[in-house]
Amino acid sequence: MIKYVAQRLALMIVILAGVMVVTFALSRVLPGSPIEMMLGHRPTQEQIDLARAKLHVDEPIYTQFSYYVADMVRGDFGESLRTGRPVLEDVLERMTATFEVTTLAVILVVLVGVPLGVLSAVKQNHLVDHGARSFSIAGMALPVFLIGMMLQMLFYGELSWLPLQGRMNSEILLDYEFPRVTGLYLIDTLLAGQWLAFKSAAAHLVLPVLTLSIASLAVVTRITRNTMVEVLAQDYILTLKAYGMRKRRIYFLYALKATLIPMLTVIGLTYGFMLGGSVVVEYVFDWPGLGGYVVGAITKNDFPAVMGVTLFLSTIYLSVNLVIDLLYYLVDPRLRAT
Amino acid sequence: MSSLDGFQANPALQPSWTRRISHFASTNTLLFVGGGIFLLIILAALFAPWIVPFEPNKIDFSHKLLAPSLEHLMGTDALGRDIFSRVVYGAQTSLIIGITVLAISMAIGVPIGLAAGYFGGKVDMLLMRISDIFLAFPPLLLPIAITAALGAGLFNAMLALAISWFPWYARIVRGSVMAIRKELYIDAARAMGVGSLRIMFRHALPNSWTPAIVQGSMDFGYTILAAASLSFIGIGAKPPTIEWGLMVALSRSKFLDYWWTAAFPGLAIFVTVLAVNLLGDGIRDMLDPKYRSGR
Amino acid sequence: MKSLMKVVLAVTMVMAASLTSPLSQAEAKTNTATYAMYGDIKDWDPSIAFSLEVMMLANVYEPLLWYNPPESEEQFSPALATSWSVSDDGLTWTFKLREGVKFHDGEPFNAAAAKASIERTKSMKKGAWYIWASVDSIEAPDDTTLVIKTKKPQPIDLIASSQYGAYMFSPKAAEKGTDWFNEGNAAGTGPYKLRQWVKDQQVVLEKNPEFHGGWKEGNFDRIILKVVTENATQVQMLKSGEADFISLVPADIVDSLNKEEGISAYTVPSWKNSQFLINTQKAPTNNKKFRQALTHIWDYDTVVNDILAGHAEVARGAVPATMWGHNANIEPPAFDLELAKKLIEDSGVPEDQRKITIAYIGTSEAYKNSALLFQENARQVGVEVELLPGEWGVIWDRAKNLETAPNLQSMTWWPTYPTPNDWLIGLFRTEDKALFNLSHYSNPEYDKVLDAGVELEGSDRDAAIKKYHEAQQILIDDAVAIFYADIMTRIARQSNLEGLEANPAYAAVFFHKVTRK
Repeated sequence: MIKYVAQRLALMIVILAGVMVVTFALSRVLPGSPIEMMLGHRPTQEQIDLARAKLHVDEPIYTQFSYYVADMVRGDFGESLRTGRPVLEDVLERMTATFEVTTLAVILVVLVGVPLGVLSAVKQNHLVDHGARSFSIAGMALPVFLIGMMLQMLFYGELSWLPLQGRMNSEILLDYEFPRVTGLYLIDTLLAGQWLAFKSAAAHLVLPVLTLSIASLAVVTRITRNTMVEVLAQDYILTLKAYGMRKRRIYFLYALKATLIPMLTVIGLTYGFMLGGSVVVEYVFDWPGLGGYVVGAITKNDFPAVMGVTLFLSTIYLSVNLVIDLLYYLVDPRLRAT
Repeated sequence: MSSLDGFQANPALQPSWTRRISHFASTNTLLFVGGGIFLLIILAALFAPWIVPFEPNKIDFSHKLLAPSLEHLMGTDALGRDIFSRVVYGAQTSLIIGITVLAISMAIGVPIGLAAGYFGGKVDMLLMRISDIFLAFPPLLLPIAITAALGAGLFNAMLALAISWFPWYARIVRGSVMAIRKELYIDAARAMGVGSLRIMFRHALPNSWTPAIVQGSMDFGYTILAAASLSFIGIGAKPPTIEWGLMVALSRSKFLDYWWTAAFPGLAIFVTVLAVNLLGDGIRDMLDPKYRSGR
Repeated sequence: MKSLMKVVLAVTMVMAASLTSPLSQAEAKTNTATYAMYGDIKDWDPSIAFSLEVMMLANVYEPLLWYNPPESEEQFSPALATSWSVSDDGLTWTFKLREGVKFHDGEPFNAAAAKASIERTKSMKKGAWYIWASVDSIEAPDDTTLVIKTKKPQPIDLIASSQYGAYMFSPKAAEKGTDWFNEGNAAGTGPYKLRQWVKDQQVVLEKNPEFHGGWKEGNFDRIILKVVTENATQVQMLKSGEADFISLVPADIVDSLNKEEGISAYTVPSWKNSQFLINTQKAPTNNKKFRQALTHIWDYDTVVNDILAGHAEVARGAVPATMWGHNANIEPPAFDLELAKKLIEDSGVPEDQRKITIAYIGTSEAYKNSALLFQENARQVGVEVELLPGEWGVIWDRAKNLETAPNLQSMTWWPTYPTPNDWLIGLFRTEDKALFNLSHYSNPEYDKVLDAGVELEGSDRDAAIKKYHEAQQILIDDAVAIFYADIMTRIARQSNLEGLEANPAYAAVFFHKVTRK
């Protein structure tokens, strides 16, 4: 076990180092002077000198890289040009907003996509199956921003049921204070017993979460169906059937268990997809998370912020996949044997 | 492991050509539907100047924001430009994006995969770890970061997408090269003193075409989607280039009151990607029987 | 399985039902007005702030005098000065100051504080400091008397009512310095205090109960200045009631907005005008003939009538027609592609170098559409135009630096205080370090004519106007900008608001005077 964990961890560190090479290359070797990228235009001489010292530009590139890695590992992503604060502070502040949306979306996707996939596999080539498959093929072809805009048109424009964008009504946010315990508004407002604020937070969450879910739902349904179909054709399932075991028990106890491992992979991938997709979704819904932060940073030439978020999200993504690898290990006895 | 085995049965037993085609079509409905639509899109792109009723960039404020009608099939945008004409021209851009991104990805990924698969050992290890790094970023984030560094623009966006996409091709090619590395004819060629490079390109490469094409046809739609997303958030195509994602972005301030300004370019992306995906699925089913639908 | 789906469905429906009720007035605890700004506060230091900050400045700080709207009986209203007079030679101004006023940080307002405020702004040489350039000395003989002396006669009353650079701030705050202000701090005497600033999101102002002007029933207790960069979002916020005022009102929807229930949208006269500044030092626009050609590629009538929906007039030169000193004899360049083509050929700029960049605020529909129209027209005469939309702070910074500057830069100007020289100095006088002279224009002859006009302004206005006319003509001849529109101020707000008055002197809403019906 320890050996396995160590192995995976080592691999992750190697890849993370590689990721840093890429972000380092993007911020130093590519166009423009790194100093300009760090300070924006028209810095003072004093600022330039400070930046030169900080970036160690007079030293060889590999030395620069080692300083860079040291900074990153300490969580020093530099200062945002736009907010003038350390990028890490901005990132931590906005992370929870992204986390709230993506996590709810993952939960929704698993709750809906997995049963749908199972149903589709069980009722192979029936109407349900065709419906589910058409849905997933169509879902994969829909641009995320279009889904978001269509939902806005329907639920805001036509029905006026839900707010257009934002995370909470700004007046409620000021009048009904609640301590930021978890940073997740849905939980914090409940903890503080602020029902009105909770309602506002929930209403603002619906459309972004739906948007992010619809896009990933297609993938999850499809993969669940395919793996389930494979499992259902296996001998032991057929045997169980021959013994006359109840179908529901077979599907949900034996078959689904066998699909657990591929499902874990899917959830890992979905999470990555959502972190990427959140950039577009947060832009559409003016959501104050990391995705919106990145887009804002790009339009404002805030290069340290872009790279900081990239590195941060990649680390999260790698960590999620590491956790999933470890879960594999716990779930799959074959891995444990080795 | 040749995928065409199924078709090379005893010729005497083969049904007539017409029956084969109709049988093929009935078992591959989606492939045909997808292929048909895709063909239409290609034709639209090629013959755009002859199809469109209006010049796509012609600004005419007296006709702005008109709802769809017989004159303007998809209505007009805030500058009075005919959306139908722009959607048709947009097909050119999207096809170019798909082809360019795949070409660059393959140009980077295929040699890397070949070398990794052929040499194996440490070379393989190193090349594959490097490729893995590019897969360690959440999708869309690396292209965004690269475009941010290179500067906004369609070409940079395409380059960025290719850079974040090449590892898939490296993996595929590596896999199929690995599979034949130990085959007798490669050994034979080596024994006859044929150089490594020659073996790689003459013998190993042709074997990886099938999976690479399957992958490519599956990815074509993804690249169009991703490029549209980049344009949508403002770091992809710029005017006067006509790109569907950019059209949706430009309609953002109006779409709640004038739905057609966003709906038709959005629909164009959807239909194109759907067609390409169906086609990709079909091609995969055809070339790679392992994935036959229904299994 | 099916039951699970049912549960999920039921939960979703209950959630949806409970969420759909929008926030009603009864649930809002505080009487709040929300204003949608299109950019955040960039400089919090009242000595430096010189852009979108005026909305915050005019509500948190006060100058000595307020300038009244043009048709008023009196030209000024007392603010922190209650009376004022000028000596016969026009060189000594004496202001009587209001007694018993305290800054938001508790410091008393007095003549020493006023002297310190003006002297700090003047000596920092940033933002609108130049309005005080002619001041020779400031004295504070007692707590309520401020004496300002100049070497030449100057309209100090006008200057003291300026919307930038004339605000009084606590000397304690000034000691803490610009960095302290920029952390999101303020210490004025105005009706509202700064309560909270969340960068790039919102500024919250809160009623100052000690305000010397007093409070009326129905005044707002709180003002939220919300940063909303997208104009579509602003319009939606107005329609849904989330915003009471919006700052980005697309010209082409003013009329349709006004028809909406509960919304008033209209235009009022202003001293604002819009121009695209042409970079005079960067190739190929360092070529005068080429610049002149660009002024003929611009489709003035379409921009004014269609893009600005008639809420503007085609401009004649740098100073708007609503401002005194405007040169009405200027013959503005006409939209004429043939002439443009000829000028381009004559300019000698080689074909492969006929490429220019145009930077503008990307969220402005009017700029965007004008730029697209310009791009399309330029294409017809063989000039390639690259669009560089961006956020104001970013494109401004880029435009200041010649290396990163575009060939054309969007600009909308309103005067610091009512004088034509504000355009002529602010936008076009030679600057060592470009601030707003984004044409990077430097013409000693122009500077000389302009300076002569400025010198005469306090003593002989007619002579000054002559000089200003001459200066405006030089700008047209040198084609330093595409002067395309004298614009009306577009206002869109909830119709249940009362007490708003249009005042072209300030690009701000005076919330203290506004109540909700």
